[in-house]
Amino acid sequence: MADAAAEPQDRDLLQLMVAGDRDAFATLYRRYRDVVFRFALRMSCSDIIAQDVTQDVFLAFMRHAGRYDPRQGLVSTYLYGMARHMTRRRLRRERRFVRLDPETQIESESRDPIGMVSGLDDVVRQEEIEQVRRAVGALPLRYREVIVLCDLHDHSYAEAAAIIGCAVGTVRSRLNRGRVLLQDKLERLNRQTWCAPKRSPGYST
Amino acid sequence: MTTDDPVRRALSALKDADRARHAPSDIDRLVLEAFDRSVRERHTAPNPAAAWTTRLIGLAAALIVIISSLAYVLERHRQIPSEPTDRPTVAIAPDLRAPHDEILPSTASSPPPVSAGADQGRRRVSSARTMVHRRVAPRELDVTQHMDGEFDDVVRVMRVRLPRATLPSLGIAVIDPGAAGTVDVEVLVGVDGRARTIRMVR
Repeated sequence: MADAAAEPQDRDLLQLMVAGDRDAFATLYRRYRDVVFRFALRMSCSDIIAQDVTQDVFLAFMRHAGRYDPRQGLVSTYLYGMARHMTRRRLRRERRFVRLDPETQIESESRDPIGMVSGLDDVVRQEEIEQVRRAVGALPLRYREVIVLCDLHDHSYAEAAAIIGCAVGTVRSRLNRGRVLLQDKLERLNRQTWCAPKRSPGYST
Repeated sequence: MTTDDPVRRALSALKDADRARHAPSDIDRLVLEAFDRSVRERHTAPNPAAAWTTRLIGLAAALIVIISSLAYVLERHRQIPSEPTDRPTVAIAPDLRAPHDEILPSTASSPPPVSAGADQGRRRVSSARTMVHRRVAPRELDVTQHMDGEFDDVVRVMRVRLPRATLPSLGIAVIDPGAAGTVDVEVLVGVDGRARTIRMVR
């Protein structure tokens, strides 16, 4: 997200976009689409939901760009806020479907190209990453979002607080609690693994 | 090493793996096409000032209609005198073509016109009569044309059905005061809702 000096600033692009400049919108879109997609993916643990949310976020952004208030934060914060809101709304809608086991219901994302998996170490690593994905996806939403924002997307506490709309202290406490929960879940998942080929020190109990 | 170091390492691995994830490219086309469409619609959209003017005119028209209706209802309500609550409920006779000469002493003579210098009570009766003229239903007998003297304020003939047992209390002699059944009577009712005279119909 760090803009290079030569690149136009988000706010300038936004002004051009509001005036109807397609290139400005396309630049903003390409700058943030993957970020929004990854955030929605980690929050929802579903590729389909993440795609829908990404699309909806930018459609809403183009329609309501005039509502953006620069005093309330960066454009990226605004987009994260929209992504968070839409993901939560989508998850609420999806809650109608009965979830049998939160940790096993999460979609597997081990659909990386086969070529990337070379040798046993890579297989093991993929397995470990899959477990972390499952564990993060099984966290309660309030803890999951702070872990995704602060630990996976490298936001500061203040930025996360602005995105979530809560106090910085709340973010800090949720993050601590979330990490403890995550460690518990990782340990449980490790124990459940029928064949634990090679554990990194991070997964040891 | 803190307790969450393993967690951080695990999250770091997940973060590295996530860097390889990208939004599908088919979203690009959809989103950019939607932007083009919204820009086109914005340029072809009607002038917002004209749209607001239309809305304001509509709102003003609606307000005028509502205020006029309220004023009309209030005016009607003000013209209708409130009826006393202790008044007995009576049914207005469907046909009041029965002669009433016997209870109105001088029905042939018209009441004298009320002059501008008449006393206040007279004026009140006159205004009450005017109001009653507006309220009289077509099938009711308007007796105000034939009144003078003490019956000036009598405005309606009402036919009611009374139990026979109530007749002695009204001063009417009956052979058997304990007899059951009802009788039809006609009552002259004043503007204050009180009965002035009563006569037997049957």
